[in-house]
Amino acid sequence: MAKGAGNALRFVVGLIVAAIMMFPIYTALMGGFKAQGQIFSNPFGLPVPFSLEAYTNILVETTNFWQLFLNSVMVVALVLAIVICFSMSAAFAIARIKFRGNKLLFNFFIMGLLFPLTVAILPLYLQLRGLGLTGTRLGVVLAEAAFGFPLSIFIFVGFFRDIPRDLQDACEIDGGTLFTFFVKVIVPLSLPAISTVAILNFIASWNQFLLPLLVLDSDTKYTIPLGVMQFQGQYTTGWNFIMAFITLSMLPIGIFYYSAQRYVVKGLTAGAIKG
Amino acid sequence: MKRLSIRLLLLAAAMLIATTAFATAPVEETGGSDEVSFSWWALSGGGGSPNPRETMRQAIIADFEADNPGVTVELQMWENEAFKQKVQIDVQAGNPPDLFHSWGGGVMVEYAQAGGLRDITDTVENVLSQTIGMGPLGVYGNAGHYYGAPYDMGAVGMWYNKDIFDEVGVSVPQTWPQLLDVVEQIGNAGYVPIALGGGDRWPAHFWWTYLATRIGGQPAFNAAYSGAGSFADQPFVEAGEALLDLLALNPFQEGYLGATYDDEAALVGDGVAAMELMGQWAPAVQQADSASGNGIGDSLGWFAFPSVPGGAGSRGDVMGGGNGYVVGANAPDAAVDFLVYFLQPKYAPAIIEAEGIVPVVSNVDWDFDANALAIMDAVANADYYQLYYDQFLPPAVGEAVKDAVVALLAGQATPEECAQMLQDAWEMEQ
Amino acid sequence: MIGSANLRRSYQIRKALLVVALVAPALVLFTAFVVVPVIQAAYYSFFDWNGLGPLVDFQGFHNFARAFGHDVFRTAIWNNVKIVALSLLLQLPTAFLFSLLIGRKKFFGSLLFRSFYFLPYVLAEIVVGIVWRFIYNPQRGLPTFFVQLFTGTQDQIGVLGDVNLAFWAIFAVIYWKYIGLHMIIYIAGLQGVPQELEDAAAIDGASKARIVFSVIIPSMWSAIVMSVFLCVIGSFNVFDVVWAMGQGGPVHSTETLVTYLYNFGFRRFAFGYGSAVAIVIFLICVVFNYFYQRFVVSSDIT
Repeated sequence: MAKGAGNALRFVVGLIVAAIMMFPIYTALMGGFKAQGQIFSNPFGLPVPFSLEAYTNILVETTNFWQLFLNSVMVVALVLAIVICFSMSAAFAIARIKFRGNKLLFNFFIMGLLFPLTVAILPLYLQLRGLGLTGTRLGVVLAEAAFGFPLSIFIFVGFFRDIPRDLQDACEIDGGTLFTFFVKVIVPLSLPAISTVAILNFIASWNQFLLPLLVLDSDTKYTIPLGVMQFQGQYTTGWNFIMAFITLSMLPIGIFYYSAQRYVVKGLTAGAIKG
Repeated sequence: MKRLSIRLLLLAAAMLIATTAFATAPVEETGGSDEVSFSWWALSGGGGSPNPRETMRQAIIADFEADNPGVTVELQMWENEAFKQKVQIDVQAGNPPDLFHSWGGGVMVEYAQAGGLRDITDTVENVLSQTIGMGPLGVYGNAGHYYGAPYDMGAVGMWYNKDIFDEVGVSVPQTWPQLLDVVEQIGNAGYVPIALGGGDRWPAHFWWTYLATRIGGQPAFNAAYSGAGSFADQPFVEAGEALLDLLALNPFQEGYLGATYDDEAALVGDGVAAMELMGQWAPAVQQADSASGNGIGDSLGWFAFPSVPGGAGSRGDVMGGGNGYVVGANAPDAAVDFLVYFLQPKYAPAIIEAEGIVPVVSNVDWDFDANALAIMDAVANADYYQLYYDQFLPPAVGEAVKDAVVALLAGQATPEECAQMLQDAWEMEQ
Repeated sequence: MIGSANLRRSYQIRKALLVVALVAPALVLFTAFVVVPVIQAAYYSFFDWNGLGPLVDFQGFHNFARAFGHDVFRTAIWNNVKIVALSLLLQLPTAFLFSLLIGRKKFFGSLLFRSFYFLPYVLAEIVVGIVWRFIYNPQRGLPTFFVQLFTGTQDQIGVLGDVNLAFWAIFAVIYWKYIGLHMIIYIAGLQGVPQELEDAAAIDGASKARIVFSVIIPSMWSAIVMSVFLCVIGSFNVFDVVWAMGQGGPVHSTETLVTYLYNFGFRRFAFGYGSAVAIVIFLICVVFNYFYQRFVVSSDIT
C-alpha cells in the first residue's frame, strides 16, 4: 500500500511540475491554432475561434514542408551515424586503452566545447568552400558531426571510465580481444549513454539554423529551421504560422526522445551485474 | 609507449596538414555559356509560400525572361537577420549574390569598399534618373558612385489615432511644445500617449534623430559628418534635452524599454496607444499585430514630426528610408537590366499591393490613401532628406546611436553623454 | 628473451594501429571543421577587421585591452558568473530531484513526464523568445497579473524593461530551458546505481536522504561531474535564450559574453574584436577545464 501511495504522490508532484514546465510550450502549441491578432490579445487562452489555417497552410499549401522534413531527416540520420560510431570508438580508445597522449587527446576534443563556435563560422565556411562542400547537405552533415564530437566523446568517456576494470580483465582472460570487449560488453552497457548522445545530437542537428543557412544555397536542400523564414516578413512576423511550424518541427524530436528514453530504462538490466 | 605516441602525433600532424592544404586549394570555376543566369535575393513576406511577394516577383521574372530569352533569374527569399548574415559571409568569401536587397547607407558603403558591389553609376545617372529622383537614388550611392536603386522610399512620421484625439479633444500638434501638451492630455485621459518598442532600440532612435534634425537641421548633420563639427555639438545635446522633457510626462507604455516593435504596433492597432513615430510600413504591421486583424482602420492618421521652435531645421525636412536592390560585383549585365526592368512605373502597382511600399518612381497608377499621399508629398517636397541614422552611418556608429538613445531614456546617460557616445563611435570609424 | 621482446613490439604496433583506427575518423573531422576554423578565428583577434576584405590592421593585444576596459564587457562577465552560480545552486539540484522523481521506477505517466520536462530544451529559440515575452508582457502577462492580485491595483510591471529585474526574468528562462538537459544526464546516470546497495541501506534503516547521499550520489558521480562541467561551460557560452529575450538589453543589463560578442563584434562589423572576445571566453573555459580535470575528475581507468 505504501508503494501505491508513493506512486500517487509522485504522480501528483510530477503533474504539477509538468504543468509549470509545459506552460510555455502549451502557449506555443495553442498559438498555432489561433489567428495572428489573437496571439497578441489572448496568448494563454484556448483558441477562440479554433483555426486550422496555419497548419493547413504549412502542410498543404506551402509545398515545401515535406521536402524540408526529408532533408532534415537525411542530415540528422547521417550526423547521428557518424557521431555515434566515431565518438564511441574514440572515447573507447581514450578511456580504456593506456597510451601516451591519451589525456592530451581528450582535452583536444574538449577544446571544441569551450569555444563559441559561431565566431568560427566564417573560416568554417571558407574551409567548406575550399573542399567543395558548400551548397551540399554533406557539407552540413560533416560540419555538424564535427561540432558534435566534443560533447559526445565527453559523455562516452565519462561513462566508459565507470566500467570496472575487472570486466575488461575477465574478457581478456576469456580470450577476447579489445574488439570483442567493445562489442560484447561496452556497447550493451552503454545504451543509456548512447541514447543520451543520440538525443542531444539529434536535437542539435534538427534545430541547427546558422550552419545550413550559410552552407546551403538552394531551397530544395533546406532543412526545417530554414523553412521558418518564409513565415517571417520584412516587417511583420506570422506568429501563428511560426508556432504551428515549430510545433510540427518538435514532433519528430519528441517521438525520438520518447522512444530513446525507453531504451535508457532497458539499459538498466544489461550485463554488468550478471558479468 | 614512446613509439606509440610519436606515431599518433605524426598521424595527427599529417591529417592537419592534409586538411589545411586541401582547404586552401582553389575552387574550379566552370566557364560561361550562352545561357546567362543570375541570383536575386529578396526579403520574405511572411505567411508561408506562395505569398503575395513571391507571386509578384515571379510574375515580373516571367515577363523579363520572356523579353530576354536565354536569361534565367533565380529568386531566393530570406528573413531579415538571416539575409544580413548570409550576405555578409558571401561578400567576404568573394561570391556576393548578383542582385540583392539593400537599405542603402553605411552597410552598403562597407560592401562597396570591400569590392562586393558593382558600380552602376552609368545606368543610374542615365537611365534611372529619368523616373526616380536623385534624392532617393543618392541613398544607394556614395561619393559619386552608385551601386543600386530604391523601389520604396518613404518617411518616418507620427501615426495617430483620430478617435482618441477627438475624444480627448486635442488637435494635431504643429510644434514640439504642442506635442508635449497633447501627450499630457492623452495621458490624463487614461490612454497610452505614445507606443514605443524600446527593446528593439531603433524605434527609440527615431525620436532623437528627428529632434536633432529639427533643431540642427542639415547644416548640423553635415558639419558633424564632414568633421567640421561634431555629433557632440549643441543641437545634438539639445535633442537629448528635448527628449527628456517628453520623458518627464511618462508618455510611453509600461515596460517600454523591453518592448519590441511588434508590441508597439499592437498597442496602436488595438487602440490602446494614441501615437507612434514610425515609417511607412506602420499600418500593415498594426493590422497584422492587432487583435481584430484590422488595426484601427480609418481612424489612423499621419502627421509630420512637429517643428521645434528656434530650430535650424524646418518641418519639411524628412527622415526616412526604404528598400532597394544593389548589384553584386560579379553580376552579369542581365542583372542590371533586370533592376531597370523591375523599376518601371508599370510594375509599381503590383509591388505596392504586395509589399505596401511608397514608390519612388513617378507617374504611378494607383489609388493611394490619404496617409500614403501625405507621406509621398513629404518625401517629394523635402529639401533635406535624411536616411535614418542607424542605416546611414557605418554599422558601428548606427549601433552606438541606438545604444546612446536608449541609455538616455533609461536615465543612464545625460544628453551630453548621449551625444558624446555617438561622436566617439563616429571618430573610431574615421 | 628476444622472442618476448618481439611479441611485445608487435603488440605495441597493433595497439598503436588500433588506437589510430579508433580515433582517426573523429580526429580528422574535428580538426578539419572545428580546430582549423577556430585557429583562424583566433588569428582575427589580433586585427581590427570589418569582416570584409583582407586583414591589414594589426592591433596586437589592443582588442583584448579594449574589452577589459569596457564597462559593458565587465557587466557581461559578471552576468555569466551569476548565471553559473545560480545554475549550480538552483538548476542542477532541481534537475537531480526531477530525475529521482521520475527517472527510476516506472509509474503511471513517468515516461510522459520525462518527455514534458525535456521539451523546453527542444523548443526552438525563436518561439522561446516570443512565448516568454508574452508571459512577461507588462500589459497582460503573469508578473502583472500577480502584482495586481496582491496589491489590488491596476499597476503594471514590465520586468523585461526594468534594468534591475530583466536579468532575473531571463535567468528564469535559462533555468526552465536547460533543466531537461541535466535531467537526462542524471537519469542515465541513475541507471547505473546498483539496486542491491540501495536495498541493503534501506534494510539497515537508512533514511531516504541518507540513501541519496551515501549510495545514489556516489554511484552516479560521473554523471554529476559531467553535468556540472557542461553547466559551467554552457553558462559561459549561453546565447540563444538571452538573445531571444532582448539581445542583451535593456541598456546592456543582461549582456552575456556571447551576446556582447554579437553586439559589439558582429553587429558593429568589428570581427577582430568579436574574435578577441571569443578568445577570452575560450581562455576562461580552458582555465576552468584545467582545474576541473585536475581536482575533480577521477583520473583514468578504474
